[in-house]
Amino acid sequence: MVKIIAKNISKYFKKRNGYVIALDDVSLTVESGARFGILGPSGAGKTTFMRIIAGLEVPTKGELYFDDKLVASNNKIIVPPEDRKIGMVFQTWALYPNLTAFDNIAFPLTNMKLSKEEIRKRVEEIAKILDIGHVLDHYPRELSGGQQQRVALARALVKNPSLLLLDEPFSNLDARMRDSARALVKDVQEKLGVTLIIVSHDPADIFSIADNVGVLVKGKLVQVGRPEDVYNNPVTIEVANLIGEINELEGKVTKEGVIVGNLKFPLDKSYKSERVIVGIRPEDVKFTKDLINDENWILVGKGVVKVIGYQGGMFRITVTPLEGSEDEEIVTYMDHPLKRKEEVLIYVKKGSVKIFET
Amino acid sequence: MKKSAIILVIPTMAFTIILLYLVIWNAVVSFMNWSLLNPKPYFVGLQTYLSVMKQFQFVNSLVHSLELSATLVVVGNVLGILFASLLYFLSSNKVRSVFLSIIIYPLAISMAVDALIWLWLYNIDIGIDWVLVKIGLPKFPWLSSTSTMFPSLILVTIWAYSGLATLFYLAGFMNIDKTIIEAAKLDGAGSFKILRKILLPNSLNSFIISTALLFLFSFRIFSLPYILSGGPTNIFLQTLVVYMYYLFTVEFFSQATAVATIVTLIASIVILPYALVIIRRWIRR
Repeated sequence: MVKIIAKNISKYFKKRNGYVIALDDVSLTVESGARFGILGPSGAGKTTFMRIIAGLEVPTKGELYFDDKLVASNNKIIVPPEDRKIGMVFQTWALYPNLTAFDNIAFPLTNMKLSKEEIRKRVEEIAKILDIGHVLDHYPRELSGGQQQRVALARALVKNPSLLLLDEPFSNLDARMRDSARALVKDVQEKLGVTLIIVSHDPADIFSIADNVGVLVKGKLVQVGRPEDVYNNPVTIEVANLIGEINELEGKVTKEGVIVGNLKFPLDKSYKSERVIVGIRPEDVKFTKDLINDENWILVGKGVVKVIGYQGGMFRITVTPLEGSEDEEIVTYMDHPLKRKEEVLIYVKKGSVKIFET
Repeated sequence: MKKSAIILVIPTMAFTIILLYLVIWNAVVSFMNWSLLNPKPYFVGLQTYLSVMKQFQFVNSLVHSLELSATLVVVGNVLGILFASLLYFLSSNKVRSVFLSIIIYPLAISMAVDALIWLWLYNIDIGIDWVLVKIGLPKFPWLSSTSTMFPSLILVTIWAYSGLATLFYLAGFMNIDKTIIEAAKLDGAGSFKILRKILLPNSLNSFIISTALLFLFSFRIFSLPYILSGGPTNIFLQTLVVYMYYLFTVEFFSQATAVATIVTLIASIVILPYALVIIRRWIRR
């Protein structure tokens, strides 16, 4: 198992006029045997970062270490990808279409000068763990999405890599299969103890697999921490949005609090700028018709129900402030529906309001 | 059928009708005995065919054509795969375009010009032989000896048409998902193994198209043997189409059309199954 250290890695791509900065001075350490997630919107450079770790791309600047060994630095690949002991699952899975599942999984082993029996033993072993033993003589096109993904995972794991890279491995799966696939990846990682890096734009992947997460925005690593900490204390509204659903309201700072239309949010400290963005997670909001006598919930004002939706067994209620700013919306999930155009009281959980200076 | 469908089909229909008219007219003439000696032709059935097939020159040129086609299909495919894989594994797109342009250059210019270039290169005083003499090797007779003439023609044909196979194989390789190749690299496969295990097995379409076209181009080749031999009468470089032209110049019109019909027939027999396979593969997608 290997420890990954990235030091000041930058990557520029040449374009017709000048450069595009894909990664900007990224420094990061992933401990040996850890599960690390890289979260970011599309185009943030997360796949580029993973490809640099894999050795498929060279960093324009900076150094990359595997344990104490320098593998790439300043536009030079020192250890080529095939010698880095990496198993990678691509977003498209990249199975060899002309080979059966067995031969796909065996492919890395055939490059290692092993005996036929040894190869068969190892392929069958990993196939058993991933529950694809019965489809080994099928071609990729004959397999379901979930089976293809497990074949790709088996191919990545069969060579006993020290590092497992997953590039959006679940985005091509049916939504209902994703959770079991995530659980499977985590179980296998725990069993083998391999260092794991997963790249995704879906926070669900990060929460279910990673112990630590780094958030990439426009090529910059803006926040690193445990997923819960990043969720609760995001450094910017962008990060807050990436790691989960959040209500964004534009407000004005006054002595009594942040004013959004007729709503007034409590202030925890003073802010320099006058215009700020108020962020509240849907689970930190409550709409009621009656007053709540609980000091954990703070009344911020009155609103009117705008849209009622239904999602995942809950009613998704959108409320706008009663007066002032009708473009602002607050969303939460409730177990019962409200009527449209109904007036409600808006409560927020104490200490949950996040204020971002613009 | 809709009106728009009919309108769209009209140009193809017109073209097909003209083409078929000529092919059929050609076939009809081949069943007559039209020649300089017979200005008033009439139908003689298969007689013209029988007399053509008995001629030494016909068998000779048929053998030449078949030898040329077989060699070009085999060597062209091998060289196409070789060049395409060398180009594929180049890391720079610019260098790849430069080399590809050079390789398909003979196809871009007229075949007559290609033949003239090689007429110079094969000249025993100023061409390749000049270089051979300079570095102290004996001269090679190329087009000056009856035994090396035909191999020399095959060499020029290979030079001219290998670019075609290269183009189709390269297109086939480039069509394969790049991440599959990257996955193979991460799995520790070298370039040769990637070529053998992944690129080639997934390029069956390229093989079919390049084989079909190499066969067609070489079987109905005319400019190269015509110009390299300096006319249609050199029996050592006579291919079927050159022989057909020869019969025409000496005004054996029906015999010429009989040879033309035989060429069309052989080409159709070889190409039709290929065409059907290709069309079926495209439809199945």
